[in-house]
Amino acid sequence: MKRFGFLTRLFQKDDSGDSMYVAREKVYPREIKGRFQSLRKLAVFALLGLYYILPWINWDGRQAVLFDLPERKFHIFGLVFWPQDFFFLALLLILAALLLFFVTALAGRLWCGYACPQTVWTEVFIWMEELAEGNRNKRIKLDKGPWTREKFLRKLAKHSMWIVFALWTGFTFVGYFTPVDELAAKIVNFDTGPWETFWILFYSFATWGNAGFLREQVCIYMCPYARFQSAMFDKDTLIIAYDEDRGEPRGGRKRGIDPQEVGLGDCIDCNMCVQVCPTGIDIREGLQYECIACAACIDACDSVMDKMEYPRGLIRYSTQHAMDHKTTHVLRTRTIVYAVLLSLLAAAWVTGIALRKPADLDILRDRNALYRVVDDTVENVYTLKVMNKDTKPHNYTFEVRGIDGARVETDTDTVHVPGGEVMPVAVRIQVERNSLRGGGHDIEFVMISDQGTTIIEPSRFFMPVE
Amino acid sequence: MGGSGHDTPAVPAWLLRAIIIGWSSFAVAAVATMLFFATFDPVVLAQAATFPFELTRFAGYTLGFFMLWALTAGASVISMFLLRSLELHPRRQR
Repeated sequence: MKRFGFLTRLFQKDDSGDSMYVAREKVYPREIKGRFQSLRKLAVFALLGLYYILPWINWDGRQAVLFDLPERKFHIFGLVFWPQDFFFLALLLILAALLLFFVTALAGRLWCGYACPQTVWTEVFIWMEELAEGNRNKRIKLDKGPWTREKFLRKLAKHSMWIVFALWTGFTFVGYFTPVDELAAKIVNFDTGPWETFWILFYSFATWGNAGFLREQVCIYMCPYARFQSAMFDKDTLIIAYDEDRGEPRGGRKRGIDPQEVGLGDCIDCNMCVQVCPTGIDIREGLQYECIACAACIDACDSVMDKMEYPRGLIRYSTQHAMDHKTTHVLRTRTIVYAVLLSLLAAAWVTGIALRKPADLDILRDRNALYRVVDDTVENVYTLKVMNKDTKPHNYTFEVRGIDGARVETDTDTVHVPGGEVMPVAVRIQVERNSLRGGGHDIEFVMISDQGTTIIEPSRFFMPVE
Repeated sequence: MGGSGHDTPAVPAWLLRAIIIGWSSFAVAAVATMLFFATFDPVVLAQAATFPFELTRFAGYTLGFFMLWALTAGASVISMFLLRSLELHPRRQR
């Protein structure tokens, strides 16, 4: 086994004692109601609703959003994107990243708390867990207790719900890449192809594992954004903060007692903010990178403050500057630069798509012969790949520029191409033998559509060298 | 750590390393797959291969993705091995 020593060393346990990874204590987030949790719930319904419903919406008799991988075409409502348009997808991803930076600089980790798929799906999985196993205390007790019939049934119920939901998620995911109604019909008949089946199971498994088990560990150990988002933070960024000046010294007290008389701050040390935290941190220790800014602690603390008849906001959305009793600047170099870049790129993206030509042309020269001589005529043969990027059929005609008196011969006068298809067209260009010197000549193909769009594509014409 | 939950077995460090390598290489492979197959059609590639074979696009994308994932994960594992074996080297330890 010594030969494989490097393998065992590679994956062996850290026994140095200063392991990066703390032994994980399972987090049992307590469900809490409040302003921000209602907002998060709304976000969950909106985003997941969009995810599950979108593939079923039709547009012009076709699935509205379909990233048709087998056909190599992306349909997004009325727009069709071809592999040639990959640039727009790349630009869109850059735009999305920039938007994330902008929002982070302005409002902190809004993305993490309200919109990240990891958070959103985890939230739904926790609802199902609550439904099957009860509230936080019941769940802790259940996990500690021995395996009874009830425990078994409750766990079974939870996992059944999780698995069904995960499978539906995986099915929907694949439904974005292959027509969803066909996929549904195939599933009903147990007739899905091997690759479809594989991806449905793969994505379901990922959902189940991430939302059911890994949860906050994805944010803490796996998410790159969580690690570098602090680079976009400054003292004017919206954060969730505990008002230490007001809260300390913390301590328990009876209701109706003036805290100042007993020398206490407003924090009654009820630990509610810790119990509701999905990543299991104590916000009173200051802003930590584990904090996903879900605002559960704000809602928890506000409800306690209401009960104690203290003003709300001991834990609140704030900025470092506000906490230091300074003014917060929403407009600052960082946000302005992000905003300007973002608007410029967005404008470029929209214009680029609006100005896209509805057709495209690729030219392949005949590989076998440079030219053919028939009597006094020299002929070059090309295959033109005519791509109709529009959703409706069009007719195209061809001309050639660069050589005077060159004739363009096609099998039919106009070429009819159905919407969204590529048609190979054989084109012969004929030139009188004496009219041109020998060797290669630059030419341009001009394709004219029935809408008047012209596409120009360069190529070469060859004459025999005497 | 907060919460008064009971202790579950810690995720062992080697597993976490495997998860981190697996996940980061997954993300990079996904981007590489998009770039690659936006440029090349797997059906045409399979026909033009040294040993031409038939395959559907879906199969081509899937195989291509897993090949890229294997490559990126392989590079990650080697990088980590080199870094870690250096750290674990007796003379390098503080």
